[in-house]
Amino acid sequence: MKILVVEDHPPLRASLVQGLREAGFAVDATGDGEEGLWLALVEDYDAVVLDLMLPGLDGMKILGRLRAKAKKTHVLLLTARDSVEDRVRGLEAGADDYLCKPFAMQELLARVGALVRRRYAAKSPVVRVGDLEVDRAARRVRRSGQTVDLTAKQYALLEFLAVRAGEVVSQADLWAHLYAFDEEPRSNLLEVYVAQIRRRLEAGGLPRILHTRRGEGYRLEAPPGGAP
Amino acid sequence: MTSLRRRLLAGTTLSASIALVLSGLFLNGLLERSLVGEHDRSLEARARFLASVVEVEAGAIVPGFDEVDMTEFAAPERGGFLELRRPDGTPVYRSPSLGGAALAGPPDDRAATTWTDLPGGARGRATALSFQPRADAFSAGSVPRLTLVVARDARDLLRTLDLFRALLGVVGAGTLLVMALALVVVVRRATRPVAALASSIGAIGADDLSARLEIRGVPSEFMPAIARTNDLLGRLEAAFARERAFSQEIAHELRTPVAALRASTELALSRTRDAEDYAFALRTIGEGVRGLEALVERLLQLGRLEAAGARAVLEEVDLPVAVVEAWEPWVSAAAARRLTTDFELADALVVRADRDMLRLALRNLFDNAVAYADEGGGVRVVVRRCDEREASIAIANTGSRLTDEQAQKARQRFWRGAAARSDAGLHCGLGLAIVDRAADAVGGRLLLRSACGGEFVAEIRLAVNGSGPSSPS
Repeated sequence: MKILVVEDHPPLRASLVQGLREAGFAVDATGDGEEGLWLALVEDYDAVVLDLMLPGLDGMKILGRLRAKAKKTHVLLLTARDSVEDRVRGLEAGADDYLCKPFAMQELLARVGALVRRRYAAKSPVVRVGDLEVDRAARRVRRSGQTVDLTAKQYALLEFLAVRAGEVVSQADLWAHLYAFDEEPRSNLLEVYVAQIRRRLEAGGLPRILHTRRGEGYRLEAPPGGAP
Repeated sequence: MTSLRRRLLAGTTLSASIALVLSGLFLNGLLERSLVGEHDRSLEARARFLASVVEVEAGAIVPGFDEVDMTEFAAPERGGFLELRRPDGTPVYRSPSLGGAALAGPPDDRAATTWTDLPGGARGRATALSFQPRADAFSAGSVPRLTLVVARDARDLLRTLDLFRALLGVVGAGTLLVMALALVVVVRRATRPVAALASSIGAIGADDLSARLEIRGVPSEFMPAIARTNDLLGRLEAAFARERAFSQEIAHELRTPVAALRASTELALSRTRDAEDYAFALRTIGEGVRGLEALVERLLQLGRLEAAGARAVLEEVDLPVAVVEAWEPWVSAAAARRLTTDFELADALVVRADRDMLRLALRNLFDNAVAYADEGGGVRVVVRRCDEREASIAIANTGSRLTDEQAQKARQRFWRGAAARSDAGLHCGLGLAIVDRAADAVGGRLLLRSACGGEFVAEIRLAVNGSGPSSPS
């Protein structure tokens, strides 16, 4: 999943980026409001962490323009203003959540996680596809009751396919959600990850669950008739 | 503490009582004088008439009273009493009403008609007339001077006077009572606006100072006080609003660096990391702490200026010397950034200013100039006399990234341009606010101008003769 962080205070921005990346998110970050708006409009982020007091264009204006262009990206407003009026104003302007500074990093990660789940209409952190369980809160994968060990990137890829289970997800879409704006895509890296994930999910002769549609993308789907 | 109403009531009641009593006494005295005077005049006329009938015939005193109407002297109850005396006091004639007793009264007509006790215990008025009776030819040479004392029962007179006094007393007391009741009503109505005013003032609290006291319907005597109170409320409201805004600004500005420190700390502790990661986290936290320290220091400076602004200590300051002294701590910082520094200083320029505040302003300006000049650029300092009234200290740095419009905003608290935002905390947007306040405290002003890509110039203009701080803004 990919997050955009728009925060002008460099040390805080750096901590947010580090925290989100360590939580498995791909992160783009900027300290400028104008650049933040441009990124939010051109990229498809799963959530945006948006500071209110920004140089150039402040957070409320960015939010207003996003909603004016019918961009439904979930936005978490991050701000030092904690009055009820400020919170109400932010939420009424279209923010999906509001977090006051200073905050616990754990709480920020949990709120961002909730916004991302909401994007995929998943109320529960556990996504089930057949006998595959992806626990997004615990970042744990189980198949037929057995834990499947995956690296951070492998997990991120599988998670993205799981929330869009049944859909064909293009390589471009996968890149956009797994890598930052400035990270150059490698031509066969995704294929390598898919192959690695497949080997681990199908260990012990379990039926295929991660399918390739040549020229289109990948699809996570329960085997026919075999899903418990 | 006595109430206004009680004071008014007591004062007016007392005044009215005194006025009524004095009026009553006056009226009583006037009437008594009039009635008694009339009574006395009648008595004296009667005495003169009776004296005129006394004769001396052949050396013998003949009263002659049996030739005139003496009815009033016939018996005590008739009220008249008469005694004719020789000079030695021996009586010549006593009226039957005396019953042989002596008649007390004035000794002679040199004394005024007076009150006297009459036989039977009654009170009367007595008058005395000394005269020489008519004498025949046989009595020439032996006519004594006689004294005629005539007295009259004054009980009716006294009754009349007592009645009048009683009437005066009753009317006076009644008037006083009615007046007191009327005063209660009048005072209560007159002081109602005071109670309403007190109620209005009581309704104004620190939570809402926007209310003002109503002037309509208020007695004119209260208007100056109400106008001044409303003015004071306006100034209080503005001061509270400034304080609230400043507190909110401070809280807001402190939260972001604190959030950064917290985030760095929590991330460092969220998992086991290698030494280099911990070192990086600690360096980040250290920078954050230094940024907070700088912010707190600036806030304290601003707070001291706000508090001390009214107590600026003016003294003779040689501006060029003060400027060069203030620049000393930045010599190495400027060299480290390869900045060219250029001083154009008047030979001698003495002004009256607060030395400490001036030093504070200069240090903030030098701090900004060295920090924001482009690497390898320059800092220019000009000290000159503008005219006979003003002197100028201008500090300019190259490489400005602000437009002139942004430069005017730069004196606002916590305003920062993009360059200041990117350096993460040592410049918290208070430097020029401090300089602005310090310049104002020494009776000067701060002028800012900037050309993006060119020079940023901060100029302090000072009154040469020093005029102290302007009124608070």
